[in-house]
Amino acid sequence: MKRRHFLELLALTAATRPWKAAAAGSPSSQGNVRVKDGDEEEVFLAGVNRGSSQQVIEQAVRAAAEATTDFSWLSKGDSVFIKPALNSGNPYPATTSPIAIKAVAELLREKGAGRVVIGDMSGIEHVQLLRDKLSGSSRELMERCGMARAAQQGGAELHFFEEAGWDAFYEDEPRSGENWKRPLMMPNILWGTGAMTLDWNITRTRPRFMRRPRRETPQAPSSTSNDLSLPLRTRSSRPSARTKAT
Amino acid sequence: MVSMAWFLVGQQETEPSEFIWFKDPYSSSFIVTMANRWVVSMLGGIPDAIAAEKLTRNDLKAVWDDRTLNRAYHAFGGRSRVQLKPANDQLPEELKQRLTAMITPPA
Repeated sequence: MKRRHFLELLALTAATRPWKAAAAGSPSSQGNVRVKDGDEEEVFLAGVNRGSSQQVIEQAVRAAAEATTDFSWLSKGDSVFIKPALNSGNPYPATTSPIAIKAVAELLREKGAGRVVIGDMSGIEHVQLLRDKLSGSSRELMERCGMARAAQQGGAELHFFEEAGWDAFYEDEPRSGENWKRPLMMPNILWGTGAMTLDWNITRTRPRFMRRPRRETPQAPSSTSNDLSLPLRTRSSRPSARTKAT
Repeated sequence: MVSMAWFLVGQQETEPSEFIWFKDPYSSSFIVTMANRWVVSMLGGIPDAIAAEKLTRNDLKAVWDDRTLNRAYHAFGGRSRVQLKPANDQLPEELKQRLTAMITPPA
């Protein structure tokens, strides 16, 4: 293949297994996802000519998604959280394609999702959340790269972890046997929602269902303005900063 | 696995002149190690930064070289055989075959 020819193409990928994992939707099922050597896995690719219109790209995103799943795992009214790549305010392909965000949000809404929430917290060079200090804004970065507008056009809500505050995180335990021994700090909004990542850009559309946390009975909801009726949980230990490395 | 193959295709198609340190810092393990220590210092303070491991250089020539993928195979119990399928009629067969070859385990 000639280089010029290659550069005129984008490819959209979607795999079947992550959707199936999302269908399971429980901590135990997520923890029990196992693969055997040689298991068959289908990955669908949709080609798009460089310079194609937004409508054509949106159709390709839909084609890749609908080839992999019939969305039977999504019940009417479900909430779905989408985590894009928002490491900076730079435009696609440094961050997730706004066109892909809009297409996926619209598709999920059409398939019955009650709420589609798109959110992230940008990298340490842009956003730093400390117990008593916050610098930077993921919201501004998302607006700058065009993702915020696209998300809202797709009928999605925006959520930024640092805006919810220092206490809007819970501790999740890695699976037993993992190398990481300490709890992982997860944003409260992931409690009770199916979550998927739209990683990097439309050349790497990779949905992934995140494991729900093990936790006790939910407590009183937070009173912060960005709270989404999600309970807070007190902790005895936590990292020194709610900051994501990129 | 397919994403990594797609990444490598892009890398192979990139002009060698683009692989200079200020455009591709990963060509220098020293720079990457220092950058990692800076991130660790922001997260955990200077003592953690000093204790951070030196990053091992991990040049990727094939999807099988990626340590994160290899860790995932181990964690999930194995490595599946991926079949690439077109979702529309705009996917060049040549690209599909190229990606398929890259994700087919060596004999």
